[in-house]
Amino acid sequence: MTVLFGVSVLYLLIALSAVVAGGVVSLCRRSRTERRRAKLTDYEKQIFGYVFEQGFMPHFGPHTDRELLCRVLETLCAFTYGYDNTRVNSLVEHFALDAFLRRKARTEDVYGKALRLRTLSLLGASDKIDATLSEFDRSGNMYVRNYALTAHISHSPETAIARIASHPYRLTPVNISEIITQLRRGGIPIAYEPMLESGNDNLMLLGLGVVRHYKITEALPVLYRLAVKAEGDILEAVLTTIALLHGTFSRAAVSEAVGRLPHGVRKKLYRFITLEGYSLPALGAVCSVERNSSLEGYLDEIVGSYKRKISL
Amino acid sequence: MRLLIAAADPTIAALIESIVSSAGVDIDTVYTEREFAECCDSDFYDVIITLFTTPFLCGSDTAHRLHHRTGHLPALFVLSWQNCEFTVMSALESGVSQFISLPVTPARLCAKIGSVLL
Repeated sequence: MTVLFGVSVLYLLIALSAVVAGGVVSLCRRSRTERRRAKLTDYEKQIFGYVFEQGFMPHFGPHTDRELLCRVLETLCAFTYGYDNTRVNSLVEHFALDAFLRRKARTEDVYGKALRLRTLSLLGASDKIDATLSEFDRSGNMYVRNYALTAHISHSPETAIARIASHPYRLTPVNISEIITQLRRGGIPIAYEPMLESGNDNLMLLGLGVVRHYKITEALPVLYRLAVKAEGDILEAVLTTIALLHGTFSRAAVSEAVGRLPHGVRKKLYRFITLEGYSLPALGAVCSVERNSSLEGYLDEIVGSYKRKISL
Repeated sequence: MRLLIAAADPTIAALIESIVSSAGVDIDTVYTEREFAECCDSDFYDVIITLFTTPFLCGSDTAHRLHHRTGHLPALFVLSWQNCEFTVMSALESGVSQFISLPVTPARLCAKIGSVLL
């Protein structure tokens, strides 16, 4: 009886100590989160005040958390532009953030590298950046390559076009979107015509991306010319851009170009065209391309039905 | 004059607050869509800046809520990375005053808010 009582008291004590330990750990974790949150608020206040309200250079004491600093500056640079760039640069230099990010980019795993390169591309940085970034130009990971290219462009916009032209990999939609964001910040000129007529696949893809983004209808004559000679994914991008700009598909050159696309890509293009609101008479030439093919009647079917629902 | 900022990320909310603070208005900040809805129900604001675009995808949620309750619509600014025509049109048709694509210049945002407050 006494033994049983002793064992149950022991179990009770173990359970109680486990509950107390759990509570202490939870309290410590909460206080750590709260401390970090308070620190972040202080950083936000000082940095935003310094950049937007022309305040004094921030001071964060001897234990500056450069990770948090990078986060705040990254948010500032990603969401806004047209701010006083010299102030951001002086913050980067004062807290040696570029060296910190370069070191992190070398030592972290691939997604960590991509993240650091993205931050570097947003912050701009010192002259040492080119040497650091060239290490990542031919990385096996797509994200690392993408952000290395974006960081290069951000760092030296005057050589952006040459760098994109010599990029050894095909630009992805993410690349194009990132570059267009840089373009909106005024870093790169909107010279879509030389890009479209350059003959370089990457520049053509970027030029088409620019035309789509700004819906430049003046580019339609160039697109009709491109449709004659383009092939593969460039041709697909050209035809998609024509559809987005509500250009004509009744030109012989354009409808022939549609016929050069593979079966699956044509189907995808037809769904896109339908979504853009084309009527059947406007697509007569394209329908004739599909005569005696497995897609015969497909376009009539989706255009004649409830267009948006069937295309989505 | 009262201004409400609704953003899920506190750093982004602080950034916008810092930009618009020069307009000299009382600023409240909310971080969740639920808080945002509660604020719209319980308080009156002259300007609302939101980074939540989900409610607008189906048409009208926030704008309709505000309009239904007060009978007039405060100036409603949507800041978003999306610039898809459907999203923008849906937002504007449901009563949003300005749909501003990110990234934005601080001067432009301040000017837009200033024009509403004048």
